[in-house]
Amino acid sequence: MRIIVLIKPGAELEDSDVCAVEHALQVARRRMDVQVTLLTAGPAECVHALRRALALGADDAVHVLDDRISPYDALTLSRVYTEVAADLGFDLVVCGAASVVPNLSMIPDMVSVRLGTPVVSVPARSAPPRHPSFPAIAEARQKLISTRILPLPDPAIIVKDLPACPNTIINVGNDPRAAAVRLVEFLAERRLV
Amino acid sequence: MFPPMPLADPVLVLADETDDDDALAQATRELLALARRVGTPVLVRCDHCRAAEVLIDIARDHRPRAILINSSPANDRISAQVAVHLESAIATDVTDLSFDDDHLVAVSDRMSSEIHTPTSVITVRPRNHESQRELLLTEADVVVAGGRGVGSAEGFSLLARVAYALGGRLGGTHTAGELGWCPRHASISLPGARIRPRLYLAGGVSGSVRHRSAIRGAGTVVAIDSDPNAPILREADFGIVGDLHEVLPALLDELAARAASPPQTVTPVPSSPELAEA
Repeated sequence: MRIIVLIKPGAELEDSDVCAVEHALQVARRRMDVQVTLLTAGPAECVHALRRALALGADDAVHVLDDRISPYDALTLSRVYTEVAADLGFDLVVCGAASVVPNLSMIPDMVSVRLGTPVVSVPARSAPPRHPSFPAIAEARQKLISTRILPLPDPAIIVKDLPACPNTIINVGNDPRAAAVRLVEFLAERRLV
Repeated sequence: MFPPMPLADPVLVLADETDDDDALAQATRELLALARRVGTPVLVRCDHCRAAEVLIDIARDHRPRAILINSSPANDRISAQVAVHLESAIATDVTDLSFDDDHLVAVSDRMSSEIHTPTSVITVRPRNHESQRELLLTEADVVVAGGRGVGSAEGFSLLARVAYALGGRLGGTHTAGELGWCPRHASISLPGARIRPRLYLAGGVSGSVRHRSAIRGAGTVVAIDSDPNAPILREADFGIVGDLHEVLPALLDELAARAASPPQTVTPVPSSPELAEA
């Protein structure tokens, strides 16, 4: 039985992905024949996140290496995940639900639609935090991460600018109302009120 | 099957399920106003069980620039189905749309992205946070918190009113919990509650390392503090240096005034959008 855990691109392993790995391992602990395979796509730095997930107890990993895959492009990512998952063969696909990266919260639904099977979508903090032991980290270095290269179309989304924290600081002085008006305008601009 | 749409640049808008014949929901009207910015809005009203099929059929016939859908767990499934079947890019939590060199540009809280597919699926998060009040502090979309700078337990009632006005939850720092100004389980600190709201408003919080670590997941941070050197102001997207007992009542008045008169969007809501009844 093979469980594929979809890991979002990036050097850091997201909370929801940690929980997805943990839930897959909970199934694996109950049966002898379960193989937990991680799957990610993106630049070379994704290996760091894979190593961390392997240290948590996953068996092996597949990395679709391509610098052109944008971590914001849910359409291309879902296509890559589906192609590789279908190629590897699977009994269950598990994926972290929410994401700190915009657009990627759609990945479980999109992969599910493409595969035509349900995908288990795991919310963050749904499993207690567990830290890998030193032997597990050492063992993870020996585990297999196979690299694949797929022919990919042009990216569907190109991120133009990621503004750094604008960090507007205003001094109230004698006019708290003006400060409040600016704050409400700021919140309205970001659709928070 | 569908009425003819001799339109230039149609933009499909999926109507909210709560819409009836007399009035459109606020969320739908906002979507229409957003659609107006980049094309001709076309309102699609249908049973949401069939919404994905209907949208895909209309989109195949009429090639819209964008399909706008309100974000919710049920609607996200519809968005995913439409995006996959049309092979169109998807952008979530979009706040604004525009054009740049023949490409649609979707602006969200943290970035703007250029769309390179003929059609795109755009999801927009509804503005109101009314349903958020029942959520846990750690799951809430809006969190308002106070620290030692609030000065008293009574000061927290002011923060509670702000939290209510923003539709969020009230929390406090570790110190506020220790002083008994807020319940200990609502202490945002490590160890303690780690939060990841879209909006975090801190009043009278200096921003200790443990507190800042606990709010790392927050989208937008607003801080009000009297100390211009408070560490939290370095992390805040919007900081106000001043007495929160003056600023917060003014903020409450401003929010109340805004709630009394709904904001006018830059482009007016189209009075009679084309209707594709399915």
